[in-house]
Amino acid sequence: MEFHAFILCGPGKGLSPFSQQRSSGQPKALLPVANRPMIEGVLDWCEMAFFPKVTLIVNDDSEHQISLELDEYKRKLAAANKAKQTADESSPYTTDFSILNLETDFSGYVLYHLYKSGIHPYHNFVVLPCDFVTNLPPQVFIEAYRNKSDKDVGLLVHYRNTLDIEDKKTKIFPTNYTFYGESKDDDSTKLLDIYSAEDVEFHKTLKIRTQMTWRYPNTIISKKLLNSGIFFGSGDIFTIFAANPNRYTEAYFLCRPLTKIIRDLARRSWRHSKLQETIAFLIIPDIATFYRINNTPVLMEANRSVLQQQAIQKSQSGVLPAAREKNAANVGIDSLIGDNSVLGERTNVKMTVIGKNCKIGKRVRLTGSLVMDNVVIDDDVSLENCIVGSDVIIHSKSKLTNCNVEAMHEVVNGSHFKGETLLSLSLEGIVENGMETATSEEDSSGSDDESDDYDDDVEYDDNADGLFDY
Amino acid sequence: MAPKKKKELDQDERFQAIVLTDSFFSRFMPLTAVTPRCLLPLANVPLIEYTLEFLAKAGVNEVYVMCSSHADQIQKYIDSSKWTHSSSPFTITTVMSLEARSVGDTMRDLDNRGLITGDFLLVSGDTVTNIDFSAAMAFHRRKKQHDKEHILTMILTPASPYHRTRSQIDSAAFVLDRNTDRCIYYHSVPPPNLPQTSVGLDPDLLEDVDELILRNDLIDCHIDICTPLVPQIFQDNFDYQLLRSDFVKGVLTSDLVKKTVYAYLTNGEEYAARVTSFLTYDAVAQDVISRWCYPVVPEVNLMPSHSYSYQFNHIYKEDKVILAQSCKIGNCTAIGNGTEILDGSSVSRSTIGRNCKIGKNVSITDSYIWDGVEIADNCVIHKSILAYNVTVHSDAEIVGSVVGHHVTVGRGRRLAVNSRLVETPIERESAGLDSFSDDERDQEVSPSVAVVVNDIDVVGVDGVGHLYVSEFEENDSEDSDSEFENTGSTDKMGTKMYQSFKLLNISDDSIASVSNKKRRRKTRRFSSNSVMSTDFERGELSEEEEDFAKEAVDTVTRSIENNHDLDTALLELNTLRMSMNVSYHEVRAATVEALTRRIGHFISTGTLGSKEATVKVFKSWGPLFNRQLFEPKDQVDLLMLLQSTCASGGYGGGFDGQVVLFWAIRTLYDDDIVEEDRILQWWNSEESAASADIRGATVRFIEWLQEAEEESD
Repeated sequence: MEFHAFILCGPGKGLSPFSQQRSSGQPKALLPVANRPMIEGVLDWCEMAFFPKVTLIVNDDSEHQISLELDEYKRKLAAANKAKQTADESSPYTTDFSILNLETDFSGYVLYHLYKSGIHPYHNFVVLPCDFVTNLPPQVFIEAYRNKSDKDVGLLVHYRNTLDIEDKKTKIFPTNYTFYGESKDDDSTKLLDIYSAEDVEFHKTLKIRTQMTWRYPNTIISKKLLNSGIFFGSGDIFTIFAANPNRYTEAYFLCRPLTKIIRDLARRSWRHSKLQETIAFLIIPDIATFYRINNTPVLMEANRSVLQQQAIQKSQSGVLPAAREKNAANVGIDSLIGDNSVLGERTNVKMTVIGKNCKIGKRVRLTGSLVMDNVVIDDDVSLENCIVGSDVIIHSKSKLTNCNVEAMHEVVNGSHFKGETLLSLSLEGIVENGMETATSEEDSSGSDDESDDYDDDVEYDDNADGLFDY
Repeated sequence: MAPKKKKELDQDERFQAIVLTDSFFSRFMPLTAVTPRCLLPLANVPLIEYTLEFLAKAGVNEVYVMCSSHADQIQKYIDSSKWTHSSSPFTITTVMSLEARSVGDTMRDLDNRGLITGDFLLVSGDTVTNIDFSAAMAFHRRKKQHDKEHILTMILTPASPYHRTRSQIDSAAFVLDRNTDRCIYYHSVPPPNLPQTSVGLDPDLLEDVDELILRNDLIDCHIDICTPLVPQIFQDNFDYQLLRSDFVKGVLTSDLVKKTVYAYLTNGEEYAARVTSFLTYDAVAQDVISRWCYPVVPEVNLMPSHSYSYQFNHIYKEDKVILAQSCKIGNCTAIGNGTEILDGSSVSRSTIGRNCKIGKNVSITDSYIWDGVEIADNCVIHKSILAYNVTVHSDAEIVGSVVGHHVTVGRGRRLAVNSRLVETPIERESAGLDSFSDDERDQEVSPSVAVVVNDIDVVGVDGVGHLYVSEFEENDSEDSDSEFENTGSTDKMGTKMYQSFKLLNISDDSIASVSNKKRRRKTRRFSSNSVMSTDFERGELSEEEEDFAKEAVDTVTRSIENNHDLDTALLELNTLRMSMNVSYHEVRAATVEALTRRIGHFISTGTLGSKEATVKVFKSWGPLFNRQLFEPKDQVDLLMLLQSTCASGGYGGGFDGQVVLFWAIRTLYDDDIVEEDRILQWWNSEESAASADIRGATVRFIEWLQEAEEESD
């Protein structure tokens, strides 16, 4: 069974101010996890899956950067393959990577594109987000898909959060009411319906259709399941689309996220007098690691979990840190420093990732933070649980705790912040809802005044891929 | 609570059970006009015996049998039964609750009498089960330890949703907490053959639950373990009539009661069923005979005088059965003492009571023949119930019918499918309440049951009997006939039975639904917080919303006309909202409607122009919205409502929707009721843009807003 894989490189609404929601941001797919763009993890996973064809779906803003990254990745891959090949004579299996620019706000359009252009020569496809991290091999998913019943036209994957993040007001992990149940014909789990919490809140009621209770008398409704964004589909879906051309119009796909379309298909399966094609449903087992980096707390946590593993590996392998000079910077085994970064005397780095070409001054304390590339940190700065965007300058004696600092920002001498998001002043702040304007790369100084209401706006529709936007 | 503790101590010493003998339904008419439901024979044993047997096994010490319809018969039966002997495992008392008109009344009567001393078992007198009660009781105790508010454990049996012993008239969905089995919600579900609706679940109920399980495949036999609080709650809520759709649902959704209900699911191998209709009567009887309910099987001889023995192929016979040599007894058959079956007759999948005389060449299949029935030669009885002492003359054919006590069917008659016969016409109007309280619902709907005196047409010149017809049944008969033809062809044994009795069942649910409908219109007697259990009308929910819309609009209009102050109007609206249980969206819609009408009134009477009228009304009454808007999207919703209301027009001459919309928004904006961001959000929404023509006058205002915003930034 061969799949054509599509990786959706979305805008990263939840990752503002580091994503391209802000003009200074990078494409979400390129945000670093332990100094590697997160997309590389996904591409590695695709390599493991032996997908013959992988297409990255990008938009105008991110196309250039992502294609550069993809070339870089291909180069690395070729090098690795070459090295492997010399050791092992088996023929190298190559994946065909490509990039496709689809300018759309909603992931559902991808499905329309597939519907119209076809997925020839393969009969199956898989849609992946660019932001997931898992230790579960792709074969598990493929096997689940292969075991689906004939009636299933797809397989949607959900997961439960296993990260230990305090989630007040369920902002990090949006609540959805996911309905799933076992089919009496073939004991496999089916997706039946999804409602978002906002929808339920708006109507002040959770609707349960009685038709469904007859079809699936033993339905489970979970509030804890999160959408993994991974969807395995078969070409049969397009037959359904083609059979109902009035319903599945271009407009239908243009304004719906992918999950909503799958939800509609799932509803369709039981609401008719005759049972229709169903959507299989897979929940990632709790023992596996799976999470999606679609907001800043998870980005932080993702980096940390890599660091933790690194620390465990290092301590197990028994490699002791080389003896260092008395005043040299202290870098814990649970930290990672990028190439060409310089650390000053008596600087202490714990549980922190530092990107490339950073200049860290003396007596700096970095704890549990993520520092991206080209950052300059002056003496006596203390950062705790902060994410610092690239090209940021933090002047001496600043103390930041639980802060996010947007790229290009300059933090003045002796600033003290707790739990703030420090944004660069740019023209886009003026425009409603952070719509993209002409890229204003103006560096700003003294922009310590917060544009709070702007931030609120971002959080208001802070649900991953805008799954349930109205 | 000191007294409660004392009761818990008592609990170990005595364990009480309450048996409800009256379901207050008329589904077994006309049989229940003579015999109470709990004394109907199932496999030749009165139904209540199965219930009492279960109670004996459950370790109950005291049984109270609550009687209302035919109370005298039940009392007489109990007094002469084996349960009054000194060897009986429990003491049994009949409680005359003659005034009861519903299960709720019975519960209140129970509370008044102060019989309850501790946790008790509540069952109805028509239950057939072999469940292991100790496991359920252990579950109940365990839950009670963890949850002080626990008042009721329902014992439910998982099965397929289409299980034949699962009454589809009363089918209901249970929403349970997946981890704790706490019942979150209960709602009746329309039968699968009727239009489907949706059930609204209040998100507040789901707040502290992570995973719910929604089940429509549970057989609910109304076997409940209750705490003494249950009758008290019935007492406090005098409008509760039904155990499930009023009481359970009421307790679960009430903000005041704050009690919890748990569901104990038996393991799939145990059997539990209630005989609630002809359909389930058939299913349960077959199950008992086919030994699904082991050890409750006929040869156990629940009645001391019985002497059934088991033979191959599920054939049960008493001692003195006279069978002609050439008669054929097929599988799944029980035959009582003193019955005689002559040459060439065949019986299969049927029960025959005592002292019956079956003539020659009679065919009896899938039927239930009670005691003392005489069937002459060459008759065909198929899928029918023949009550006590029925006489059938030769060559008659009875298919899919119910023949009441002492009826005589004449020679060569062919009864129409789905007919019900009674000996004497049932005088609905003059009948005392006491004698027919099992059919109390019908009386409320009187004269829903008409008795047509056409006995000769039906039973023949040599027959005795009348056709029992209820008017809705007549309307339904065509449908049921066609259904019979469609479904009757299935040949599997179980499904065949099921399909045929479905006929009777259909008229059952029509009784239920029609009478409910009527009752709703006639009185609001059942207007507790629940929807009636068997209300299938599709428009049911929207009906309530309509009611609300009308009343709310009236309320606001009244307030405006009488110039009440805002707080009074708000209080009234809020009360209305809570009593009707609608969302704020409806409240807003109603308010917008009322205000727009008022504007229309001003304009059409020529008192004021569009602009002045709008400003005046919204200046003084717009603040109503302050207490109806809670979140940003509510404002957008309000604007959308305004737009659609203005667009719909129809408020008299001179009403200019464009102008009204503009000034309404303007006024709301000036008074800081809606924010400019929301106005823009509304303006940019697709929904709003869809009806662009109404927005004409507002364009400039929006432009102005946008400009103002840019400048201020």
